[in-house]
Amino acid sequence: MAVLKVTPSKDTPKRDIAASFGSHRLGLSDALVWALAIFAYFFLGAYHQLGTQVIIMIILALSLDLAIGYSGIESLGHAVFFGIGAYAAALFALNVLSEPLTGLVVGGLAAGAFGFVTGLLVLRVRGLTQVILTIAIGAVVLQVATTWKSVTGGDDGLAGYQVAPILGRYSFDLYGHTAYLYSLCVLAFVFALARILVNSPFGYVLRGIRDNDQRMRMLGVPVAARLLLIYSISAAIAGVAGAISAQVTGLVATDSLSFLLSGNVLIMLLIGGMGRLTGAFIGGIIFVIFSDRAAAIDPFNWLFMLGGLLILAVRFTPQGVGPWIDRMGGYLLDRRRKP
Amino acid sequence: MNDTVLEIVGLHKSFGALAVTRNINFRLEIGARHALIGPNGAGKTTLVNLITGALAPSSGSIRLEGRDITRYSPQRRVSLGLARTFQINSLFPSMTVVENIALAVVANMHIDAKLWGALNRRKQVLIELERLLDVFNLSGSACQLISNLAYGQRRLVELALALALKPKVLILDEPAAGLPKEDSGKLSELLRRLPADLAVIVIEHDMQIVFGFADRITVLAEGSVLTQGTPSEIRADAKVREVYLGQARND
Repeated sequence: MAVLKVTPSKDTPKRDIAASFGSHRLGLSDALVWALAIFAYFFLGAYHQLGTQVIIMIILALSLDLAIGYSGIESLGHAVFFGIGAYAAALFALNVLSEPLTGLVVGGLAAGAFGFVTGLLVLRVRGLTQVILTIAIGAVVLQVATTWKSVTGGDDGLAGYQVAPILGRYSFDLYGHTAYLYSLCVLAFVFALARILVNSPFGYVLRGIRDNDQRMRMLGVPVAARLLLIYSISAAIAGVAGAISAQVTGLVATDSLSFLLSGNVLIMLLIGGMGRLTGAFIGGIIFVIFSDRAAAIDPFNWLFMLGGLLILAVRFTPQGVGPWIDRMGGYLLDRRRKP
Repeated sequence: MNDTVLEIVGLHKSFGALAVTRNINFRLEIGARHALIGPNGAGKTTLVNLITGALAPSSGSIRLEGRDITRYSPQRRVSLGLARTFQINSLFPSMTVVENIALAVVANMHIDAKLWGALNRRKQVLIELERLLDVFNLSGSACQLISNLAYGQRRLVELALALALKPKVLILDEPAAGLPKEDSGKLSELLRRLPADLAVIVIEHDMQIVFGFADRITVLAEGSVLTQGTPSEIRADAKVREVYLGQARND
Protein backbone atom coordinates (compact mmCIF):
# COMPACT_ATOMS: atom_id res chain seq x y z
CA MET A 1 0.00 0.00 0.00
CA ALA A 2 1.28 3.43 -0.87
CA VAL A 3 1.76 5.19 2.42
CA LEU A 4 2.52 8.63 1.13
CA LYS A 5 0.17 9.09 -1.77
CA VAL A 6 -0.50 12.76 -2.44
CA THR A 7 -3.40 12.78 -4.84
CA PRO A 8 -5.89 15.13 -3.23
CA SER A 9 -9.27 13.63 -2.59
CA LYS A 10 -12.25 15.89 -3.17
CA ASP A 11 -15.47 16.67 -1.41
CA THR A 12 -15.10 15.14 2.01
CA PRO A 13 -18.38 15.87 3.72
CA LYS A 14 -17.67 18.00 6.77
CA ARG A 15 -20.11 15.91 8.73
CA ASP A 16 -17.63 13.04 8.54
CA ILE A 17 -14.84 15.16 9.95
CA ALA A 18 -17.00 16.37 12.80
CA ALA A 19 -17.91 12.75 13.54
CA SER A 20 -14.25 11.74 13.68
CA PHE A 21 -13.91 13.57 16.97
CA GLY A 22 -14.21 11.46 20.09
CA SER A 23 -16.36 14.10 21.71
CA HIS A 24 -18.54 13.21 24.64
CA ARG A 25 -21.80 11.92 23.28
CA LEU A 26 -24.74 10.97 25.40
CA GLY A 27 -24.71 7.20 25.48
CA LEU A 28 -26.74 4.41 26.97
CA SER A 29 -24.89 4.66 30.28
CA ASP A 30 -25.96 8.33 30.66
CA ALA A 31 -29.57 7.47 29.89
CA LEU A 32 -29.55 4.60 32.41
CA VAL A 33 -28.03 6.75 35.13
CA TRP A 34 -30.49 9.61 34.81
CA ALA A 35 -33.43 7.25 34.51
CA LEU A 36 -32.26 5.54 37.68
CA ALA A 37 -31.90 8.86 39.50
CA ILE A 38 -35.45 9.93 38.65
CA PHE A 39 -36.82 6.48 39.39
CA ALA A 40 -35.11 6.61 42.78
CA TYR A 41 -36.76 9.94 43.57
CA PHE A 42 -40.27 8.63 43.03
CA PHE A 43 -40.02 5.05 44.21
CA LEU A 44 -37.11 4.80 46.64
CA GLY A 45 -38.03 7.53 49.14
CA ALA A 46 -36.45 5.61 52.00
CA TYR A 47 -33.05 5.72 50.29
CA HIS A 48 -32.89 9.44 49.59
CA GLN A 49 -30.20 10.04 52.17
CA LEU A 50 -28.03 7.33 50.65
CA GLY A 51 -28.90 8.68 47.21
CA THR A 52 -27.73 12.13 48.26
CA GLN A 53 -24.42 10.64 49.36
CA VAL A 54 -24.12 8.93 45.98
CA ILE A 55 -24.76 12.20 44.15
CA ILE A 56 -22.25 14.13 46.25
CA MET A 57 -19.63 11.50 45.51
CA ILE A 58 -20.48 11.60 41.80
CA ILE A 59 -19.85 15.36 41.75
CA LEU A 60 -16.54 14.86 43.52
CA ALA A 61 -15.57 12.03 41.14
CA LEU A 62 -16.52 14.23 38.16
CA SER A 63 -14.18 16.92 39.39
CA LEU A 64 -11.38 14.38 39.80
CA ASP A 65 -12.05 13.00 36.31
CA LEU A 66 -11.52 16.47 34.83
CA ALA A 67 -8.11 16.56 36.51
CA ILE A 68 -6.88 12.98 36.12
CA GLY A 69 -8.90 11.53 33.26
CA TYR A 70 -8.91 14.51 30.94
CA SER A 71 -5.78 16.44 31.87
CA GLY A 72 -3.40 13.85 33.31
CA ILE A 73 -3.03 15.72 36.62
CA GLU A 74 -2.48 12.95 39.10
CA SER A 75 -4.19 14.04 42.27
CA LEU A 76 -4.54 11.89 45.32
CA GLY A 77 -5.62 14.82 47.44
CA HIS A 78 -8.95 15.91 46.04
CA ALA A 79 -10.59 15.57 49.46
CA VAL A 80 -8.78 18.78 50.40
CA PHE A 81 -10.94 20.76 48.00
CA PHE A 82 -14.04 18.87 49.11
CA GLY A 83 -13.25 19.64 52.75
CA ILE A 84 -12.41 23.28 52.14
CA GLY A 85 -15.66 23.70 50.22
CA ALA A 86 -17.53 22.07 53.11
CA TYR A 87 -15.90 24.19 55.81
CA ALA A 88 -16.33 27.36 53.74
CA ALA A 89 -20.04 26.69 53.20
CA ALA A 90 -20.56 25.82 56.87
CA LEU A 91 -18.69 28.88 58.14
CA PHE A 92 -20.57 31.03 55.67
CA ALA A 93 -23.91 29.67 56.89
CA LEU A 94 -22.81 30.10 60.51
CA ASN A 95 -21.46 33.63 60.28
CA VAL A 96 -22.83 35.34 57.21
CA LEU A 97 -25.87 34.05 55.43
CA SER A 98 -27.87 30.84 55.64
CA GLU A 99 -29.01 30.97 52.01
CA PRO A 100 -27.81 27.67 50.44
CA LEU A 101 -27.13 28.65 46.82
CA THR A 102 -24.80 31.47 47.86
CA GLY A 103 -23.20 28.94 50.20
CA LEU A 104 -22.52 26.66 47.25
CA VAL A 105 -20.85 29.47 45.35
CA VAL A 106 -18.77 30.39 48.42
CA GLY A 107 -17.68 26.76 48.86
CA GLY A 108 -16.77 26.47 45.21
CA LEU A 109 -14.85 29.75 45.15
CA ALA A 110 -12.92 28.94 48.32
CA ALA A 111 -11.86 25.54 47.00
CA GLY A 112 -11.13 26.95 43.55
CA ALA A 113 -8.89 29.64 45.03
CA PHE A 114 -7.06 27.03 47.08
CA GLY A 115 -6.70 24.91 43.95
CA PHE A 116 -5.22 27.88 42.12
CA VAL A 117 -2.64 28.53 44.84
CA THR A 118 -1.63 24.90 45.37
CA GLY A 119 -1.76 24.32 41.61
CA LEU A 120 1.18 26.71 41.23
CA LEU A 121 3.15 24.15 43.21
CA VAL A 122 1.57 20.83 42.21
CA LEU A 123 1.58 21.44 38.46
CA ARG A 124 5.30 22.13 38.31
CA VAL A 125 5.94 18.40 38.59
CA ARG A 126 4.43 15.31 37.06
CA GLY A 127 3.92 11.64 37.83
CA LEU A 128 4.70 10.18 41.21
CA THR A 129 6.11 13.43 42.58
CA GLN A 130 2.82 15.08 41.78
CA VAL A 131 0.86 12.35 43.56
CA ILE A 132 3.04 12.71 46.66
CA LEU A 133 2.70 16.51 46.61
CA THR A 134 -1.09 16.34 46.54
CA ILE A 135 -1.05 13.86 49.44
CA ALA A 136 1.32 16.14 51.37
CA ILE A 137 -0.89 19.19 50.86
CA GLY A 138 -3.83 17.12 52.05
CA ALA A 139 -1.97 16.10 55.18
CA VAL A 140 -1.03 19.70 55.98
CA VAL A 141 -4.58 21.00 55.56
CA LEU A 142 -5.98 18.14 57.65
CA GLN A 143 -3.52 18.96 60.43
CA VAL A 144 -4.46 22.64 60.33
CA ALA A 145 -8.17 21.79 60.47
CA THR A 146 -7.64 19.47 63.44
CA THR A 147 -5.59 22.01 65.37
CA TRP A 148 -7.43 25.24 64.61
CA LYS A 149 -10.34 24.45 66.91
CA SER A 150 -11.74 27.97 67.19
CA VAL A 151 -12.66 27.98 63.51
CA THR A 152 -13.14 24.35 62.49
CA GLY A 153 -14.21 22.83 65.78
CA GLY A 154 -11.25 20.47 65.55
CA ASP A 155 -12.02 16.79 65.91
CA ASP A 156 -15.55 17.57 67.13
CA GLY A 157 -16.38 18.98 63.75
CA LEU A 158 -18.38 22.03 62.82
CA ALA A 159 -22.11 21.94 63.47
CA GLY A 160 -24.97 24.08 64.70
CA TYR A 161 -25.44 26.16 61.59
CA GLN A 162 -28.80 26.63 59.91
CA VAL A 163 -29.45 26.32 56.22
CA ALA A 164 -32.36 28.37 54.92
CA PRO A 165 -34.91 26.92 52.48
CA ILE A 166 -33.72 26.75 48.88
CA LEU A 167 -34.91 29.81 46.94
CA GLY A 168 -36.83 30.65 50.12
CA ARG A 169 -39.36 27.88 49.44
CA TYR A 170 -38.03 24.35 49.75
CA SER A 171 -36.75 23.64 53.23
CA PHE A 172 -34.53 20.67 53.99
CA ASP A 173 -36.56 17.86 55.57
CA LEU A 174 -35.56 15.12 57.95
CA TYR A 175 -35.87 12.36 55.36
CA GLY A 176 -33.61 14.00 52.81
CA HIS A 177 -36.19 14.34 50.03
CA THR A 178 -35.30 17.98 49.40
CA ALA A 179 -31.60 17.25 49.81
CA TYR A 180 -31.83 14.53 47.16
CA LEU A 181 -33.50 16.76 44.60
CA TYR A 182 -31.25 19.69 45.48
CA SER A 183 -28.06 17.71 44.98
CA LEU A 184 -29.46 16.08 41.84
CA CYS A 185 -30.09 19.52 40.35
CA VAL A 186 -26.57 20.63 41.20
CA LEU A 187 -25.22 17.42 39.66
CA ALA A 188 -27.17 18.03 36.46
CA PHE A 189 -25.75 21.56 36.33
CA VAL A 190 -22.18 20.39 36.99
CA PHE A 191 -22.51 17.57 34.47
CA ALA A 192 -23.76 19.97 31.79
CA LEU A 193 -20.86 22.33 32.50
CA ALA A 194 -18.31 19.51 32.44
CA ARG A 195 -19.72 18.23 29.17
CA ILE A 196 -19.47 21.64 27.52
CA LEU A 197 -15.95 21.94 28.89
CA VAL A 198 -14.62 18.61 27.62
CA ASN A 199 -16.07 19.13 24.14
CA SER A 200 -14.67 22.66 23.87
CA PRO A 201 -11.34 23.53 22.24
CA PHE A 202 -9.95 23.85 25.77
CA GLY A 203 -11.14 20.31 26.57
CA TYR A 204 -9.25 18.90 23.60
CA VAL A 205 -6.16 20.91 24.48
CA LEU A 206 -6.27 19.28 27.92
CA ARG A 207 -6.37 15.83 26.37
CA GLY A 208 -3.45 16.83 24.20
CA ILE A 209 -1.51 17.92 27.28
CA ARG A 210 -2.34 14.61 28.96
CA ASP A 211 -1.03 12.68 25.95
CA ASN A 212 2.09 14.71 25.18
CA ASP A 213 2.66 17.97 27.03
CA GLN A 214 6.00 18.66 25.32
CA ARG A 215 4.40 18.55 21.90
CA MET A 216 1.56 20.75 23.11
CA ARG A 217 4.14 23.33 24.13
CA MET A 218 5.70 23.06 20.68
CA LEU A 219 2.33 23.89 19.18
CA GLY A 220 2.60 27.21 21.00
CA VAL A 221 0.10 26.46 23.76
CA PRO A 222 0.93 27.82 27.24
CA VAL A 223 0.59 24.45 28.96
CA ALA A 224 1.17 25.61 32.54
CA ALA A 225 -1.60 28.22 32.35
CA ARG A 226 -4.08 25.77 30.84
CA LEU A 227 -3.35 23.16 33.51
CA LEU A 228 -3.72 25.75 36.26
CA LEU A 229 -7.12 26.72 34.88
CA ILE A 230 -8.48 23.16 34.80
CA TYR A 231 -6.99 22.37 38.22
CA SER A 232 -8.77 25.41 39.69
CA ILE A 233 -12.04 24.46 37.95
CA SER A 234 -11.72 20.90 39.19
CA ALA A 235 -11.01 22.13 42.72
CA ALA A 236 -14.02 24.44 42.60
CA ILE A 237 -16.33 21.59 41.56
CA ALA A 238 -14.95 19.43 44.38
CA GLY A 239 -15.64 22.38 46.68
CA VAL A 240 -19.26 22.53 45.49
CA ALA A 241 -19.60 18.83 46.33
CA GLY A 242 -18.23 19.55 49.80
CA ALA A 243 -20.58 22.51 50.23
CA ILE A 244 -23.62 20.36 49.42
CA SER A 245 -22.40 17.78 51.89
CA ALA A 246 -22.09 20.43 54.60
CA GLN A 247 -25.54 21.84 53.85
CA VAL A 248 -27.48 18.59 53.72
CA THR A 249 -25.81 16.85 56.69
CA GLY A 250 -25.53 19.91 58.92
CA LEU A 251 -22.09 18.78 60.03
CA VAL A 252 -18.54 19.09 58.74
CA ALA A 253 -15.97 16.77 60.26
CA THR A 254 -12.25 16.54 59.60
CA ASP A 255 -12.73 13.27 57.72
CA SER A 256 -14.12 15.31 54.84
CA LEU A 257 -10.49 16.36 54.33
CA SER A 258 -9.03 12.91 54.79
CA PHE A 259 -6.76 10.90 52.57
CA LEU A 260 -9.31 8.09 52.79
CA LEU A 261 -11.85 10.17 50.90
CA SER A 262 -9.28 11.11 48.23
CA GLY A 263 -8.50 7.43 47.77
CA ASN A 264 -12.15 6.42 47.65
CA VAL A 265 -12.92 8.90 44.90
CA LEU A 266 -10.03 7.59 42.87
CA ILE A 267 -11.37 4.05 43.32
CA MET A 268 -14.79 5.22 42.10
CA LEU A 269 -13.17 6.57 38.95
CA LEU A 270 -11.19 3.37 38.46
CA ILE A 271 -14.36 1.32 38.74
CA GLY A 272 -16.44 3.59 36.50
CA GLY A 273 -13.78 4.52 33.95
CA MET A 274 -11.66 7.64 33.54
CA GLY A 275 -11.80 10.38 30.96
CA ARG A 276 -15.41 9.79 29.99
CA LEU A 277 -17.59 11.70 32.52
CA THR A 278 -20.07 8.84 32.88
CA GLY A 279 -17.40 6.88 34.73
CA ALA A 280 -17.95 9.14 37.71
CA PHE A 281 -21.65 8.27 37.76
CA ILE A 282 -21.23 4.54 37.45
CA GLY A 283 -18.29 4.40 39.83
CA GLY A 284 -20.01 6.62 42.40
CA ILE A 285 -23.20 4.57 42.37
CA ILE A 286 -21.43 1.21 42.57
CA PHE A 287 -18.96 2.33 45.23
CA VAL A 288 -21.34 4.05 47.64
CA ILE A 289 -24.14 1.52 47.37
CA PHE A 290 -21.78 -1.43 47.55
CA SER A 291 -20.02 0.03 50.62
CA ASP A 292 -23.35 0.69 52.29
CA ARG A 293 -24.68 -2.82 51.65
CA ALA A 294 -21.38 -4.49 52.53
CA ALA A 295 -21.20 -2.56 55.80
CA ALA A 296 -24.79 -3.53 56.60
CA ILE A 297 -24.04 -7.21 56.03
CA ASP A 298 -20.74 -7.30 57.89
CA PRO A 299 -19.84 -4.09 59.78
CA PHE A 300 -16.36 -5.39 60.61
CA ASN A 301 -15.07 -6.94 57.40
CA TRP A 302 -16.83 -4.91 54.74
CA LEU A 303 -13.60 -3.34 53.53
CA PHE A 304 -12.53 -6.84 52.55
CA MET A 305 -15.46 -7.04 50.15
CA LEU A 306 -14.69 -3.60 48.78
CA GLY A 307 -11.12 -4.70 48.06
CA GLY A 308 -12.47 -7.76 46.30
CA LEU A 309 -14.74 -5.58 44.16
CA LEU A 310 -11.83 -3.36 43.18
CA ILE A 311 -9.66 -6.33 42.18
CA LEU A 312 -12.48 -7.78 40.08
CA ALA A 313 -13.12 -4.42 38.42
CA VAL A 314 -9.48 -3.86 37.53
CA ARG A 315 -9.07 -7.44 36.35
CA PHE A 316 -12.13 -7.66 34.13
CA THR A 317 -12.87 -4.07 33.13
CA PRO A 318 -9.52 -2.24 33.14
CA GLN A 319 -11.14 0.71 31.35
CA GLY A 320 -13.93 0.80 33.91
CA VAL A 321 -17.51 -0.41 33.75
CA GLY A 322 -18.75 2.57 31.69
CA PRO A 323 -17.29 1.54 28.30
CA TRP A 324 -18.58 -1.96 28.92
CA ILE A 325 -22.15 -0.73 29.35
CA ASP A 326 -21.89 1.44 26.24
CA ARG A 327 -20.58 -1.51 24.23
CA MET A 328 -23.54 -3.57 25.39
CA GLY A 329 -25.80 -0.73 24.31
CA GLY A 330 -24.11 -0.52 20.91
CA TYR A 331 -24.46 -4.28 20.50
CA LEU A 332 -28.18 -4.18 21.29
CA LEU A 333 -28.77 -1.26 18.93
CA ASP A 334 -26.87 -2.97 16.11
CA ARG A 335 -28.94 -6.07 16.52
CA ARG A 336 -32.08 -4.04 16.23
CA ARG A 337 -30.90 -2.36 13.04
CA LYS A 338 -30.06 -5.65 11.36
CA PRO A 339 -33.27 -7.68 11.11
CA MET B 1 17.00 42.98 3.22
CA ASN B 2 13.27 43.03 3.45
CA ASP B 3 12.41 39.48 2.59
CA THR B 4 14.69 37.90 5.21
CA VAL B 5 12.56 35.76 7.51
CA LEU B 6 15.14 34.14 9.72
CA GLU B 7 18.59 35.49 10.41
CA ILE B 8 21.23 33.81 12.54
CA VAL B 9 24.26 35.84 13.52
CA GLY B 10 27.38 34.51 15.22
CA LEU B 11 25.59 31.69 16.98
CA HIS B 12 27.78 29.91 19.48
CA LYS B 13 27.03 27.16 21.97
CA SER B 14 29.40 25.38 24.26
CA PHE B 15 28.87 22.83 26.99
CA GLY B 16 31.77 23.56 29.33
CA ALA B 17 34.93 23.40 27.25
CA LEU B 18 33.21 21.61 24.40
CA ALA B 19 32.04 23.95 21.66
CA VAL B 20 29.28 22.21 19.71
CA THR B 21 28.17 25.19 17.66
CA ARG B 22 30.78 27.68 16.51
CA ASN B 23 30.04 31.03 14.96
CA ILE B 24 27.20 30.04 12.68
CA ASN B 25 25.69 32.65 10.36
CA PHE B 26 22.97 32.24 7.84
CA ARG B 27 19.79 33.81 6.62
CA LEU B 28 16.60 32.48 5.17
CA GLU B 29 14.46 34.38 2.73
CA ILE B 30 10.75 34.02 2.12
CA GLY B 31 10.16 30.79 0.29
CA ALA B 32 13.71 29.52 0.88
CA ARG B 33 14.41 25.81 0.61
CA HIS B 34 17.46 25.35 2.75
CA ALA B 35 19.08 22.03 3.58
CA LEU B 36 21.34 21.47 6.53
CA ILE B 37 23.66 18.54 6.07
CA GLY B 38 26.77 17.18 7.70
CA PRO B 39 28.10 13.97 9.14
CA ASN B 40 26.86 12.62 12.48
CA GLY B 41 28.00 14.83 15.34
CA ALA B 42 28.35 17.88 13.11
CA GLY B 43 25.94 19.81 15.34
CA LYS B 44 22.81 19.78 13.21
CA THR B 45 20.48 18.82 16.02
CA THR B 46 22.09 21.32 18.38
CA LEU B 47 21.59 24.05 15.81
CA VAL B 48 17.93 23.11 15.44
CA ASN B 49 17.52 23.14 19.20
CA LEU B 50 19.10 26.58 19.34
CA ILE B 51 16.80 27.91 16.65
CA THR B 52 13.64 26.43 18.20
CA GLY B 53 14.64 27.51 21.68
CA ALA B 54 15.13 24.11 23.31
CA LEU B 55 18.69 25.27 24.06
CA ALA B 56 19.93 28.77 24.85
CA PRO B 57 23.00 29.90 22.88
CA SER B 58 26.19 30.96 24.66
CA SER B 59 26.39 33.93 22.33
CA GLY B 60 24.99 35.19 19.07
CA SER B 61 21.48 36.10 18.04
CA ILE B 62 18.47 34.75 16.18
CA ARG B 63 16.03 37.06 14.45
CA LEU B 64 12.63 36.12 13.13
CA GLU B 65 11.24 38.76 10.76
CA GLY B 66 13.59 41.30 12.27
CA ARG B 67 12.55 40.55 15.83
CA ASP B 68 15.26 39.31 18.18
CA ILE B 69 13.94 35.99 19.53
CA THR B 70 17.20 34.74 21.04
CA ARG B 71 15.76 34.75 24.57
CA TYR B 72 12.19 33.75 23.75
CA SER B 73 10.66 30.52 25.05
CA PRO B 74 10.11 27.71 22.52
CA GLN B 75 6.33 28.10 22.67
CA ARG B 76 6.53 31.84 22.04
CA ARG B 77 8.70 31.19 18.99
CA VAL B 78 6.11 28.74 17.72
CA SER B 79 3.33 31.28 18.07
CA LEU B 80 5.46 33.81 16.19
CA GLY B 81 5.66 31.41 13.26
CA LEU B 82 8.57 29.05 13.84
CA ALA B 83 7.37 25.45 13.57
CA ARG B 84 9.19 22.16 13.42
CA THR B 85 8.62 18.49 12.92
CA PHE B 86 10.35 15.89 15.00
CA GLN B 87 12.77 13.21 13.95
CA ILE B 88 10.88 10.73 16.09
CA ASN B 89 7.15 11.22 15.68
CA SER B 90 5.79 13.27 18.53
CA LEU B 91 2.03 13.04 18.41
CA PHE B 92 -0.96 12.45 20.66
CA PRO B 93 -1.30 8.65 20.58
CA SER B 94 -4.68 8.22 22.25
CA MET B 95 -6.39 10.73 19.98
CA THR B 96 -7.60 10.38 16.41
CA VAL B 97 -5.84 11.80 13.36
CA VAL B 98 -8.39 14.56 13.04
CA GLU B 99 -8.10 15.44 16.74
CA ASN B 100 -4.32 15.60 16.46
CA ILE B 101 -4.44 18.04 13.58
CA ALA B 102 -7.25 19.94 15.28
CA LEU B 103 -4.99 20.63 18.26
CA ALA B 104 -2.58 22.46 15.97
CA VAL B 105 -5.46 24.30 14.30
CA VAL B 106 -6.77 25.33 17.72
CA ALA B 107 -3.33 26.58 18.71
CA ASN B 108 -3.01 28.52 15.47
CA MET B 109 -6.43 30.12 15.84
CA HIS B 110 -5.65 30.99 19.46
CA ILE B 111 -8.85 29.38 20.71
CA ASP B 112 -7.08 27.01 23.10
CA ALA B 113 -8.61 28.76 26.10
CA LYS B 114 -12.19 28.74 24.78
CA LEU B 115 -14.15 26.85 27.42
CA TRP B 116 -17.35 26.47 25.46
CA GLY B 117 -18.58 25.94 21.91
CA ALA B 118 -17.90 22.32 20.88
CA LEU B 119 -14.71 22.00 18.86
CA ASN B 120 -16.32 19.79 16.24
CA ARG B 121 -19.09 22.33 15.63
CA ARG B 122 -16.76 25.19 14.81
CA LYS B 123 -17.08 25.83 11.11
CA GLN B 124 -13.69 27.48 10.60
CA VAL B 125 -11.92 24.64 12.35
CA LEU B 126 -13.72 22.05 10.24
CA ILE B 127 -12.97 23.85 6.98
CA GLU B 128 -9.29 24.09 7.86
CA LEU B 129 -9.21 20.42 8.90
CA GLU B 130 -10.82 19.39 5.64
CA ARG B 131 -8.18 21.30 3.73
CA LEU B 132 -5.29 19.74 5.65
CA LEU B 133 -6.69 16.22 5.44
CA ASP B 134 -6.96 16.67 1.70
CA VAL B 135 -3.45 18.02 1.28
CA PHE B 136 -1.97 15.06 3.11
CA ASN B 137 -4.49 12.57 1.79
CA LEU B 138 -5.45 11.58 5.30
CA SER B 139 -9.23 11.80 4.91
CA GLY B 140 -9.52 8.04 4.86
CA SER B 141 -7.88 7.62 8.23
CA ALA B 142 -9.35 10.73 9.90
CA CYS B 143 -11.01 8.76 12.68
CA GLN B 144 -8.13 6.34 13.28
CA LEU B 145 -6.26 6.55 16.55
CA ILE B 146 -2.63 7.56 16.07
CA SER B 147 -1.55 4.45 17.93
CA ASN B 148 -3.23 2.33 15.22
CA LEU B 149 -1.54 4.16 12.35
CA ALA B 150 1.33 2.93 10.15
CA TYR B 151 4.63 4.73 10.58
CA GLY B 152 4.53 6.51 7.24
CA GLN B 153 1.10 7.90 7.94
CA ARG B 154 2.17 9.16 11.34
CA ARG B 155 4.91 11.01 9.49
CA LEU B 156 2.21 12.70 7.41
CA VAL B 157 0.26 13.69 10.52
CA GLU B 158 3.47 15.13 11.95
CA LEU B 159 3.82 17.30 8.84
CA ALA B 160 0.14 18.24 8.91
CA LEU B 161 0.51 19.43 12.51
CA ALA B 162 3.41 21.66 11.56
CA LEU B 163 1.63 23.13 8.54
CA ALA B 164 -1.58 23.70 10.50
CA LEU B 165 0.38 26.23 12.54
CA LYS B 166 0.72 28.34 9.36
CA PRO B 167 4.38 28.93 10.11
CA LYS B 168 6.72 31.37 8.38
CA VAL B 169 9.68 29.11 8.99
CA LEU B 170 9.37 25.34 9.05
CA ILE B 171 12.16 23.09 10.28
CA LEU B 172 11.92 19.51 9.08
CA ASP B 173 14.09 17.28 11.22
CA GLU B 174 14.89 14.20 9.12
CA PRO B 175 11.46 13.90 7.48
CA ALA B 176 12.50 10.66 5.73
CA ALA B 177 13.82 8.98 8.88
CA GLY B 178 12.33 5.54 9.23
CA LEU B 179 10.42 5.72 5.97
CA PRO B 180 10.66 2.77 3.63
CA LYS B 181 12.86 3.59 0.61
CA GLU B 182 9.97 3.52 -1.85
CA ASP B 183 8.13 6.19 0.12
CA SER B 184 10.91 8.76 0.08
CA GLY B 185 10.01 9.67 -3.50
CA LYS B 186 6.49 10.41 -2.40
CA LEU B 187 7.87 12.46 0.45
CA SER B 188 9.87 14.53 -2.04
CA GLU B 189 6.71 15.17 -3.99
CA LEU B 190 4.93 16.27 -0.84
CA LEU B 191 7.80 18.58 0.09
CA ARG B 192 7.59 20.18 -3.34
CA ARG B 193 3.95 21.03 -2.62
CA LEU B 194 4.74 23.01 0.52
CA PRO B 195 3.47 26.62 0.35
CA ALA B 196 5.70 28.75 -1.86
CA ASP B 197 6.09 31.59 0.64
CA LEU B 198 7.14 29.27 3.47
CA ALA B 199 10.82 29.22 4.36
CA VAL B 200 11.91 25.64 4.97
CA ILE B 201 14.99 24.22 6.65
CA VAL B 202 15.39 20.52 6.10
CA ILE B 203 17.85 18.28 7.89
CA GLU B 204 18.22 15.04 6.02
CA HIS B 205 20.62 12.21 5.36
CA ASP B 206 18.92 11.09 2.18
CA MET B 207 20.92 13.00 -0.44
CA GLN B 208 18.34 12.37 -3.12
CA ILE B 209 15.79 14.31 -1.10
CA VAL B 210 18.28 17.03 -0.21
CA PHE B 211 19.45 17.69 -3.76
CA GLY B 212 15.96 17.39 -5.17
CA PHE B 213 14.48 19.82 -2.69
CA ALA B 214 16.98 22.43 -1.57
CA ASP B 215 17.94 25.55 -3.46
CA ARG B 216 20.64 26.25 -0.94
CA ILE B 217 22.67 23.92 1.23
CA THR B 218 24.67 24.54 4.38
CA VAL B 219 27.24 21.92 5.26
CA LEU B 220 28.12 21.63 8.92
CA ALA B 221 31.21 19.91 10.26
CA GLU B 222 32.39 19.85 13.85
CA GLY B 223 29.99 22.56 14.88
CA SER B 224 30.83 25.15 12.30
CA VAL B 225 29.80 25.95 8.76
CA LEU B 226 32.08 24.16 6.34
CA THR B 227 30.55 25.78 3.32
CA GLN B 228 27.29 27.15 1.92
CA GLY B 229 26.04 27.20 -1.61
CA THR B 230 23.68 25.95 -4.27
CA PRO B 231 23.31 22.19 -4.74
CA SER B 232 25.62 22.20 -7.75
CA GLU B 233 28.29 24.18 -5.90
CA ILE B 234 28.08 21.77 -2.97
CA ARG B 235 28.23 18.80 -5.28
CA ALA B 236 31.39 20.19 -6.85
CA ASP B 237 33.03 21.19 -3.57
CA ALA B 238 36.09 19.10 -2.84
CA LYS B 239 36.00 19.74 0.93
CA VAL B 240 32.43 18.52 1.14
CA ARG B 241 33.23 15.41 -0.82
CA GLU B 242 36.02 14.74 1.59
CA VAL B 243 34.16 15.16 4.92
CA TYR B 244 30.76 14.06 3.92
CA LEU B 245 29.79 12.70 0.58
CA GLY B 246 32.99 10.74 0.21
CA GLN B 247 32.12 8.76 3.30
CA ALA B 248 28.87 7.53 1.90
CA ARG B 249 28.97 7.12 -1.85
CA ASN B 250 29.67 9.07 -4.98
CA ASP B 251 26.67 10.63 -6.63
